[in-house]
Amino acid sequence: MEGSRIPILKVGRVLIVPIQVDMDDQTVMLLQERILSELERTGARGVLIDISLLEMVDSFIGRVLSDIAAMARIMDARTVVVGMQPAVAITLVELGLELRGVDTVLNVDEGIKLLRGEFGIDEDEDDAAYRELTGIAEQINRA
Amino acid sequence: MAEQSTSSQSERRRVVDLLSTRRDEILNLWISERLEAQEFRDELISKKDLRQQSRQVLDMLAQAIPEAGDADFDDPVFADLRAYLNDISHMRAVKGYTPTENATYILSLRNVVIPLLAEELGGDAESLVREMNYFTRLLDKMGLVMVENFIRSREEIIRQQRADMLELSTPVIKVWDKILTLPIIGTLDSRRAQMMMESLLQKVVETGSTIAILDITGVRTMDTLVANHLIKTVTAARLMGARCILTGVSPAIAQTMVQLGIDLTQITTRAQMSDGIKLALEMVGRAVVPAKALAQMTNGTKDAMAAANALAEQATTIGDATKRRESGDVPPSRF
Amino acid sequence: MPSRSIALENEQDISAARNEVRALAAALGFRMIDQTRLATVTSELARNVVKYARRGLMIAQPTESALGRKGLRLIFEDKGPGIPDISAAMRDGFTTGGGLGKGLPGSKRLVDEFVIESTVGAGTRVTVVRWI
Repeated sequence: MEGSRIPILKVGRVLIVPIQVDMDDQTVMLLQERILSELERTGARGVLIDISLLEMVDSFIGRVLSDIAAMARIMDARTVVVGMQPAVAITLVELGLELRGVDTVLNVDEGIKLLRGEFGIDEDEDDAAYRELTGIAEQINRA
Repeated sequence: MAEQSTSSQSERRRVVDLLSTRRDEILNLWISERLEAQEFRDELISKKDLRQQSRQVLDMLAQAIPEAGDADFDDPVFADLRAYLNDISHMRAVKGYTPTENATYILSLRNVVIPLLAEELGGDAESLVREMNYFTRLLDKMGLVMVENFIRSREEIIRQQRADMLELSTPVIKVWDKILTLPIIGTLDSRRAQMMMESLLQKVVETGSTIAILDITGVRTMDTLVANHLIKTVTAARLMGARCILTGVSPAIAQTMVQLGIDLTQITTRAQMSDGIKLALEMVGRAVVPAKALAQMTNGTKDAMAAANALAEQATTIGDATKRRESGDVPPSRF
Repeated sequence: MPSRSIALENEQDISAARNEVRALAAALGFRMIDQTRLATVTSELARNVVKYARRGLMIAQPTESALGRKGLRLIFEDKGPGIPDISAAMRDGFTTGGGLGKGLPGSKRLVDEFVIESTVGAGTRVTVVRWI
């Protein structure tokens, strides 16, 4: 599994990690190291791990996700896992895994929202006020 | 030895001769036997189709037997006929024939042919017995094939119907942007609960809904297995990033859940589905507000206020029109 | 369909085993959710073999019940140290204790049948079955 490297992309102050393959144990551990080292290198404040293409999460991967979240938190970064497949969710519940300390959201949109909300990442104060007003107007017009 | 096989071959050809030369007679006898049989229902098959099917069976038999030698119905030479019988029995299962109607089809052919064989082979008891044995064995096998395939088809139909019913009985409905509701009605068994869970979670992903309202107003009883499925659903949804609201929990079911040791503090519940919807809307940042009040609330921005007033007026107009329509004054097509 | 046998001697074998099981389950006609359950339980039990016994074997047997129902049997065997207290191991879930334990109770919930045999100093065999 050496050849297939999982990309770690930087968008604003968020690291995005799209997991596209079934990972063996070594790849998982390597990924953990790489994420943490990228966090240190870039000073990113958020990590978004996209598992929408991952068809299986076992106890090993589950624990590593928890570990990544814990270590990132120490480095003042928030981790969000997005796109868990229904079959994976059901299996995790049956396994009895809680994914402690890991925030999970439905999709990338929700993930960005969460990261922005928590740390105010990439959001201008004035922008927010303007958007709120536009939002109300939109609602009224739509109704 | 050679003589015997020659004579048995020539005798077997007698059955085939019979099927070929007296085909129409056999066909008519067979069909009239079927039509007169108590079980026959002419709404299931037309006489024309019955005749065509039966003629086909006879022709295929007449064609295959000479090539079969001593082989029985499992031989590949009968493959086409076997396939045809499978088609017939499948069709009968779909149309709702009874098992008896299906099974006696081939039996009645046997009852028609044997006396004719006796007629033809008259004095030659040995040949007659040999021929009867052969033909009887063959037709018994054919009858069995039809019975087996009928049963298999029936089971497939039942399985499909059950799946359809399950599908229909657990609808997942989108009530608003990002809000789904799953109204559960009737007896909830383990299998249905499982289907419901998978269906809901799938819809959550497909619609990008972050809230699911599970309404169990229509559920009268719940056992451990079902309660566990419910908890599993709520937990799995949360793992995926969606929240569940449980509504319509009756006192009886609340009691059951507590007795089963389910931690109800982990689940958001509301008594009425409407309360659940209101909560869900708030959770996605929406509020249900009277139009006039909204106008008053937004009096800071001139444009917003104008829009809110327009909305209030529109609401009044719609409200009045609805009242008038209900009392029979205005045709519905207006709005 | 014939049985398949996969050696479990290192971490890559865990991956190979679960991919093999998923493919086999799909070929047998298991639904997606059940394929995932089987792949996951394989990952768990294969990892136990590699972690605690260092080497062992998985056998995947397509099977059929007396009533003609299709299923898949998976056998995980090793000649490792064995489990001294099986009932404790069966209570040791992911949330008890410090580590993750062997995750046996969780694995059990993923399948329809679960049998574990173990002798200290001789080895362990875990047999699981999932029906379609």
